[in-house]
Amino acid sequence: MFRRIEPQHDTITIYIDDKPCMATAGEAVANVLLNAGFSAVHTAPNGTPRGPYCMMGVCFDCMITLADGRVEQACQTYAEDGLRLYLPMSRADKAVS
Amino acid sequence: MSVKSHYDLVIIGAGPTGLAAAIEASQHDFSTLVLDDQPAPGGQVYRHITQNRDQRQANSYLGADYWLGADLADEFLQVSAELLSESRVWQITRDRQVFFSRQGAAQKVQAGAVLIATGAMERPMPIPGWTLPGVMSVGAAQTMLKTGGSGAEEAVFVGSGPLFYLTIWQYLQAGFAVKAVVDTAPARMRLRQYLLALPALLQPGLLLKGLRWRAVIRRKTDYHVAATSVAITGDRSATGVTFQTAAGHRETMAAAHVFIHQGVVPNVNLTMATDLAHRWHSRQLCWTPRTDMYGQTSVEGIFVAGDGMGISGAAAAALSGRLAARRIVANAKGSPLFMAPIWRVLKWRQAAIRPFLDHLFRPPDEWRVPQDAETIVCRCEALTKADVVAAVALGVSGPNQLKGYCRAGMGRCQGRMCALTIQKIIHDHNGGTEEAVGYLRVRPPIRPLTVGELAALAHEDASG
Amino acid sequence: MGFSIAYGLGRRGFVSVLLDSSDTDFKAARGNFGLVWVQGKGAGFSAYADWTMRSRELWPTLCDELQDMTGHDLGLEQDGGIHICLSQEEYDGRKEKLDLLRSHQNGRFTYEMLDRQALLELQPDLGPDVVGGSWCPSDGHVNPLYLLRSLHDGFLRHGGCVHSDAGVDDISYEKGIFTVTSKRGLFRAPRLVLAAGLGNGKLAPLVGLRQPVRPQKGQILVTQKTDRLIKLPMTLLRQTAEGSIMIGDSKEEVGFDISSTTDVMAQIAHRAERTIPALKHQQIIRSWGALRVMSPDGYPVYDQSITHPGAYAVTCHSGVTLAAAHAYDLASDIAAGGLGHNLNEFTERRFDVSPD
Repeated sequence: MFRRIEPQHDTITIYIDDKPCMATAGEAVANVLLNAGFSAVHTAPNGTPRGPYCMMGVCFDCMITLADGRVEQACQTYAEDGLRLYLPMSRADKAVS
Repeated sequence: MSVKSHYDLVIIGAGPTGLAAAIEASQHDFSTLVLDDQPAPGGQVYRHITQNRDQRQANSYLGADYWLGADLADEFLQVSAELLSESRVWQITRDRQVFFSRQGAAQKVQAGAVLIATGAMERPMPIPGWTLPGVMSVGAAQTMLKTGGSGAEEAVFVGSGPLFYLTIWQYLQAGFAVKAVVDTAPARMRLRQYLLALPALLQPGLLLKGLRWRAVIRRKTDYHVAATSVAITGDRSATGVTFQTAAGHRETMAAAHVFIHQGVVPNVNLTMATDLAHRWHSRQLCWTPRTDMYGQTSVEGIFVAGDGMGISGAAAAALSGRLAARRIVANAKGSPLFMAPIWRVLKWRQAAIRPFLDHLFRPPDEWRVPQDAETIVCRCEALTKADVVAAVALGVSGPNQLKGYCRAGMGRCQGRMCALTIQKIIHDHNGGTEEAVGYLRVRPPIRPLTVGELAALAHEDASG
Repeated sequence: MGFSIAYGLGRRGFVSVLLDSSDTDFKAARGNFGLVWVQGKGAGFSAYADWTMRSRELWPTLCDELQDMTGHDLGLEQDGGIHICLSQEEYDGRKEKLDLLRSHQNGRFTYEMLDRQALLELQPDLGPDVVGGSWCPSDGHVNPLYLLRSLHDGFLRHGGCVHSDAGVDDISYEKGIFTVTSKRGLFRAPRLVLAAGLGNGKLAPLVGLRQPVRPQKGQILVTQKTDRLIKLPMTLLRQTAEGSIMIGDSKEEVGFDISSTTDVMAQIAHRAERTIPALKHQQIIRSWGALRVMSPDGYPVYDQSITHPGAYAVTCHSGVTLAAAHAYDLASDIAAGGLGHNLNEFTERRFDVSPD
């Protein structure tokens, strides 16, 4: 489990698979996911689970789906109040294999 | 904020290289735009520095070197150079049009000169189990400390290199319990490496710092040296690490979080996609763009500086950025290059320790190509070493033909996580030199953008 | 093309050597879109229409044979294909062209012009600009890269030998034997097939033939993998078995330039979005550019040398569609020492223009 050294202040709410989750404004969504206990977010072409690895946008394994259907890297997506995102894994979303 | 259509200098990357270059250019009445994909300046080494600045005391665990970036960032924010954050550059043309995406819209800007300061990324580390959830790079662990003030308890760190030791030290300073450190650097240095260490004596501070970090790590963690045959075990996520100790025993430990690292390499996707000439750096085992001493590449007006030019570290990077900006301004204005020779010496001095580090932390062959044939080599397409070897065995002339035959390198990451591995596999089979094997043909867009975004550019052109 | 013929010869017991160029050389085979396409081909050249249809009919056999032999799934689908029209003008022009083709083919070629409503039943979610299109039941698509791999693999299994980085510099001929000087050394054989694409222009004269070919650039975009959006292959849009969507294409006369250019890519993306608006949010993860090998009239050229008996020069730009005809019929002709009568019209002598 990841834990935060200091508790967060001034948190906003984002929604992961429609479940509310606390985040700091502007925080990379991958950060939020890892701190919320998600280590896997999508499924690779061979059916295995994958999750954030590099946290800098080069591994493309932290994929999430936004409300408009766009597939994005969670580490390159920044939390805004009310942001809704979905884990391709939980929707058996082929998009991201 | 609206972007102008033309700038004298467009800098890609707001790490130490880009920031220093922007500061330099701004001093010469040179319109400068910095495009960076993060929300705030700092790049990777000084990531989140403007946000962390106010909690310097609380974040002292990040170490003094990190805080050097605060002054640089502050200076940058005062100068006239413009910064566009969260901007993903996906193409640079030969005539220096820079295409990028921001907030879901593709834009372009014309540059008098371009400085690519996109820095480095961690070398791919295809060891068994590296794709399991729970396994992340050591750089990722460090990033999470910097940007979210968070870390994993009881993690196992595997690998070696300056970033490796620094991050573990930062973890310990921040109060995280580190379960074990599995160091894969060889037990003894060879004579050649001692000789290479001599220039490193120009930077005694760095050497002492390294020794100090290792002493702390040795004291506070279960520290294993000269480990080989490392594998991460687990089914749906990481559950353990196993390795062979220096004494030859097989050691196994439980772990849900494993951080791995085997050095950094230039992130060449943008420079490759811009069709710049590259050369193989046989000591650092990576590709670097061919440049002159100032960073001028094979295409006039396009420069590279910093770690993207060759791994030299943050301090050398800033000097490299200033040097490139100086040259660019001098080219445009015909002004003299005062200070340039001095900076070149300073830059060399900053990088003097590099050959020593490169040899000491040279990735072992088993980290460049996995010994176990079932280990994933191409993450995006989930191809194992066996898959790639089967295609290589047909007889391929290089990575591009290989990509056509088995899809290795064809995924989202455009070879960032696999090209070096594939190159070595082909080389092991075909022989010749590693340089002759070549690299995947990388093409724009080097960052994904949607069909809609790209299509919108057609409207723009149509309406003039 | 070379691998199709080499494979075909291999299955007839010929022991051959294939000399391939280097990894970064222009290779049209790696730039193919993957269509196995009949509609619209040969509207002005009847023999080509016949040849294309022949290959289409042989394709399932080739596919099964390769799959059985090498174990690779080629992803062949031959359930029909569509050409989309985004204006009434396009629609009318298309109809005219295909009617001409049908009239020359005595019923062998069938197609239907479908208006928007009818087209929606085959392919839902078409954009408002789609006026209609032409549908041909014979059309289909395949994975062109896996085809190449399978042909290579199959060729090796039939005893063939491949040398990479073996660019050819010279060819000489003496007493019925060709000596090829390549970067991998010298090779000798009584029979020689030049299938070097754009390289044939330089090599053909060495064996007393001419093959005037020029490069024509095509660019494509490739998206992330996604759920099935494109039900049937279209001339400019197809979805692979893995789920990625390939978006084409362009026809540019820019010489030996294969760079990805934004203006062209934007136009390609724009047309694709007009065709299927749902593509709007799909991420483009890759672009590609390659050079088609174009003869002066765009149709294949198959020639055998008179001055250097045993030498052939062959070229086409639809190497995937024609792969089956090449592997079976053309290879069979070459094995027998000639070229079939059905290929008489494909000789380069058709480019000789007699003075008026």
